[in-house]
Amino acid sequence: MGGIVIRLYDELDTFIALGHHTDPSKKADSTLKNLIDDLNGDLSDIFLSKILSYPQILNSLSQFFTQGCLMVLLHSGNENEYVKYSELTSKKISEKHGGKDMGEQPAKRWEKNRYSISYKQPRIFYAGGFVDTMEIATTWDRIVDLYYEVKKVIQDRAFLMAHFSHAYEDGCSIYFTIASKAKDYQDGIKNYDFIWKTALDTVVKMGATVSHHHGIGLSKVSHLKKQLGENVELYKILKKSFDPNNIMNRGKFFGDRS
Amino acid sequence: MNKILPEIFEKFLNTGIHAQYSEKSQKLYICAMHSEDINKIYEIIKKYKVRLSFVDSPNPQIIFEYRPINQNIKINNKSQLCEVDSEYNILKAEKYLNSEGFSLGYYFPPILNNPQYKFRDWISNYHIPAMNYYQSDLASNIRGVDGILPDGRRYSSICAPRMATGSDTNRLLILAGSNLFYPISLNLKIIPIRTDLQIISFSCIRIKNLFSAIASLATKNIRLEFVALYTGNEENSESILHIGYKKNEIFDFKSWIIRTVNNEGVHLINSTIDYNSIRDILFQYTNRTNQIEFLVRYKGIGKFEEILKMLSTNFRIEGYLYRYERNSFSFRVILPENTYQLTRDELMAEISKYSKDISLIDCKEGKSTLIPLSIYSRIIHSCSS
Repeated sequence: MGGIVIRLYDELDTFIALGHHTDPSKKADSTLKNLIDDLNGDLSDIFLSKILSYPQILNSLSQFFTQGCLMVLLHSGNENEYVKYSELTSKKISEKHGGKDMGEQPAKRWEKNRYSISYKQPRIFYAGGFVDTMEIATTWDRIVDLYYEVKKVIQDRAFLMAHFSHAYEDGCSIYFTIASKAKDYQDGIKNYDFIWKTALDTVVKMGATVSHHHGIGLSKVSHLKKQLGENVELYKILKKSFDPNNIMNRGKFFGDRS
Repeated sequence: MNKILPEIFEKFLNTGIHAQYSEKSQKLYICAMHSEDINKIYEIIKKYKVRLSFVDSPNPQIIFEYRPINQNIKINNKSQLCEVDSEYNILKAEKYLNSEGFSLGYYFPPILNNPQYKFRDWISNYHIPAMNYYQSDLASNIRGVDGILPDGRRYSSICAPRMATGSDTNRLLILAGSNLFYPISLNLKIIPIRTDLQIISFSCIRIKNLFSAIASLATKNIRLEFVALYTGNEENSESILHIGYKKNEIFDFKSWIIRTVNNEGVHLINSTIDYNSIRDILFQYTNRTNQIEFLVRYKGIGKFEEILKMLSTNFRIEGYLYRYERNSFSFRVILPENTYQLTRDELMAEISKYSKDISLIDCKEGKSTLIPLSIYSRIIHSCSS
């Protein structure tokens, strides 16, 4: 047997992370190409700084993308027959829903560059902006609404793209990438906190989990409490049971050094 | 004599909560008839700082039971989930789900044998930690829970994919049994029943012929949804081969298999068996103890048949196809407990003569770990989507 790696990118993530081609007949398309050609490399720091300051423009321009969304599928298994079957079935399903086979190149490119994005982040920080990622999860019946709601509440504040990862029969996670810039450092901090708070408030409101597999940490702990509601009392009981001397992560979850 | 219990009893009666006080045993029984009652109960016991125990807890002072009037089950088609009250009868739920094209899963036959079983009973009794996705208890299918903690407080988790943050707490509550948590409702993963399969069945006195058919199937470049072969039951002593393939397959498997091995006696059975039944039969086989697994190259089929004949002189053979590949297959035989060790030793000596074509794995000794767990899923899970 084996498995499939699936990555589904939204329009903007498709455009930026995995390379892009433009339709010369569409003026907006080629303008956009010039604008963000590209966050991956050649843009001057001044220009990068400028475009990050106007996230709403970038986000709204995404409607002019002609490429659509890219889905990368990597099939693996210990038997050729299984892999071929998996590939064929995936192709049939994708085509049934309007997908078009792009060949092996996008997947190979993804595999080669999947960790590269992390090394490009310093340029955004040097330009006075920030970039961060946020992964959340919910069931299939709520996933699309969740994506659009989160996008809606922060698109005026940050340049936003997403891919869908870790798919299961009952749901999947969404991996948002957020980039933005404010006029100065203090404003940047305020903007950063506002984006996280607003996005996670929406996640809780929509009945999704504030984290899929990255965990909670200090940045999400207040929203985990919101997600848990009254259930947080149970966590207190469990903490007391498993850690009666309170030596683990003291003060991290409940505050007051407990 | 406990003075608090009669006082609390009065409070419950005044609030309209069903309650019963036993002065002799110093126990107070309370019963929530609606979900809203839970909050009322919590408010009362919170004041007295007493611990609520559930119906099956040892030495309780206050015993609690939840009897919802309405038993609900709701299917979420898009996410393949079902929300069900813990008081709902499992067999009834499975029947309802079947009528909607779903099933609770292939792990269920042992539980379905008890027609009175409710989801709450199952949670109290079947909290075995899951080893992996395919060989797990139904607890691993829980995606959300709603229930009561010992202090009367309501615990409601959101419904989320299995691996998302928070799912471990749900599992902890479920696996801890009813001392820590009393479930009211559950959100369960359900499996769609496949209706796109065509199943054809063959039987044969000489099992060798059915192995030959599998050899032919394995070497063709065709995709079968499953192949199941097992020895016959009490009514039918002949071995049986089931083949499942998609209804839209253009290949005529029936005439092809008969053409391949007909001269040696294989014949089509007009079987009404469906894939769920096959899945259940295989599930029951794989759960039996005392299994020996034979790994056989196809060219050793004749010799393997001799071994099975030898075994059948001592007891009725029970066995099933465990996996098949292009060059070989494996067949598991269930041995009687009292002769297991002796038979295994004899088999090892016998098989050493054919070591090039046949080898043996003693499943009972744990040597079966040589086989990847995924192989199990190939046989069992391939029957489902």
